[in-house]
Amino acid sequence: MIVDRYRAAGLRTNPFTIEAADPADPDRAAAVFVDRGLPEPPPPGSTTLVQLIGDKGAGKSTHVRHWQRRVEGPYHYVPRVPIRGRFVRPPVGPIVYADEIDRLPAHVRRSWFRASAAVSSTIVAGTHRDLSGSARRAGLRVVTHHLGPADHATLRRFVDARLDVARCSHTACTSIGDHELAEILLESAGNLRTAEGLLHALVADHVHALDEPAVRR
Amino acid sequence: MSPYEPPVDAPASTVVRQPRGKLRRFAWIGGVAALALVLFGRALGAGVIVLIVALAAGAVTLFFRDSVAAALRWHPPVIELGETPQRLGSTARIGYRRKARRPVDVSECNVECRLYCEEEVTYTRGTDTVTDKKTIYEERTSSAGQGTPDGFAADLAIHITANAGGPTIALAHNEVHWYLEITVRGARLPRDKHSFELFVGPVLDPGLRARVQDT
Amino acid sequence: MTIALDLDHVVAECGGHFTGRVSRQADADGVSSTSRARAVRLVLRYRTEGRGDTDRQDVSNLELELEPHGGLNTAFSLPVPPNGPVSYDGRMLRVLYEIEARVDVKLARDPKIERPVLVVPVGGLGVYDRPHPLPFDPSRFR
Repeated sequence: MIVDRYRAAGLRTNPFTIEAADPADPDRAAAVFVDRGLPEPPPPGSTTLVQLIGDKGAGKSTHVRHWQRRVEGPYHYVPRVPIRGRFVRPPVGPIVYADEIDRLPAHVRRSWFRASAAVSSTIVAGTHRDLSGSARRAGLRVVTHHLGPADHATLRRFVDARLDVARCSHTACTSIGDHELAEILLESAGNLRTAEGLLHALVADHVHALDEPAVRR
Repeated sequence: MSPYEPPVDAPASTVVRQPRGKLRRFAWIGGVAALALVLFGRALGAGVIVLIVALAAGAVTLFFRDSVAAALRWHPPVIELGETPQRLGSTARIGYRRKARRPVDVSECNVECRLYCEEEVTYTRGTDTVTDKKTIYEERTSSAGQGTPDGFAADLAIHITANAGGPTIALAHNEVHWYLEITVRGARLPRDKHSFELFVGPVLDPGLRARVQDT
Repeated sequence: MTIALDLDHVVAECGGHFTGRVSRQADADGVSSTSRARAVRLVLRYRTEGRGDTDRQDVSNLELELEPHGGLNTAFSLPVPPNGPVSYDGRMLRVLYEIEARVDVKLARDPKIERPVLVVPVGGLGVYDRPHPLPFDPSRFR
């Protein structure tokens, strides 16, 4: 018989793998989404830019994808590389979701904002910089949300959501104590992506600590 | 893709490994920069080129003064391994050898060794690629060295644990590597640090197997 | 169209073999009709899980021809690569192995069955009952 360390700890797998919250997998992403208390975006056709501003790993993409699951619309990602990918203008429509729009060259972004305002589009986008000036000049209203570092309560909800999904049904499973969570929060400075990596290693440590001595055949 | 590749051209009983020193990497970068200056220097003017070279040389000397001093007085170190790849649960004998470029009286010498296992993973979000590394096992040991006719040498024993880390793995996005980081201390000795990669094979040391099965 | 996969052992070392028996009941009468099932493919595969993107590879495979009526009952031996990787539970990554038996069916979804297996370092048979690393028990090694 093979001993599965994670099943012995009550888990089907480590809750903090990269796949566990893959934004491209809607079912998984929906199951582990942690609400940060942001208001819902306005409906399609509101002539509005909803910009989520935050550092890498703050949860911008997660929120944009979450809202896209609730109200359908095309999604556009502006790549870092290849650079020519940044010159592709995002789509225009009643509601459009986008990420990393600060990477768009200024003239492409201006043209997109103007075209979107002309059709009263609602844009929901993640960005590292405040683009309200450019959006207003193009004729869009602007709603801004700043995604800052997570606090203890948010990290607790984040962890519990992941453990719930990874738990083997009807069994007790490994848990993460408040003092461990506080250390993770400190070390990650509230960045959820960094915390995810630390939590993965912590769960691995918990799982290994439960090891029984190897059984001889 | 082969999970790992044992090192090539090793004698049957002794394997000599060269360090992965940072200074060599910067020397390579410097060479490329020099070539760029030669090709495009005309556009800049001689005075600007001299200033750039002087600033770069000053920066290298300042940040790598110990390594630069060591490189001027000592040949790069080599380590001798009894065998490769290493086995899980084995104790390996490592020979550290360093030749001087000119005669040096080595009276006291201590060689410090840090053996560590590192996991490295890569993931992609959109077109952004992120690499994370984590040291998952570490062991420190040291040994007094002795002067030799052409420099100094030390013998070290390192334990490749079977209770943490894993055999060397090199997949596209997931890797496990073992490294030796060696520092020397003593008067007139090079105050630099060198890293060597060790290949740990998917093989259990027979001694460990015997100990487990005896309990 | 069910398939059965019986393994002699669920643990094999690098350079060794997984052996067992694969069987499938006929799904045609053998006289007037022919099964749409063509063959059974056996694969030894690893995949990674963890903080890196998944690496996945079929490291050895066998194709077993079915009888005309779709039946099969035969022993098999799947080689394990000598260089690994071994089954591994790390801090940022895991390496997991499975054996898959899949029925190649014409114009239909291929039914399949999977069994988790353990690939251990050379010399590890009788020592490992879980992925590397070995559990730490200092009293064993004095």
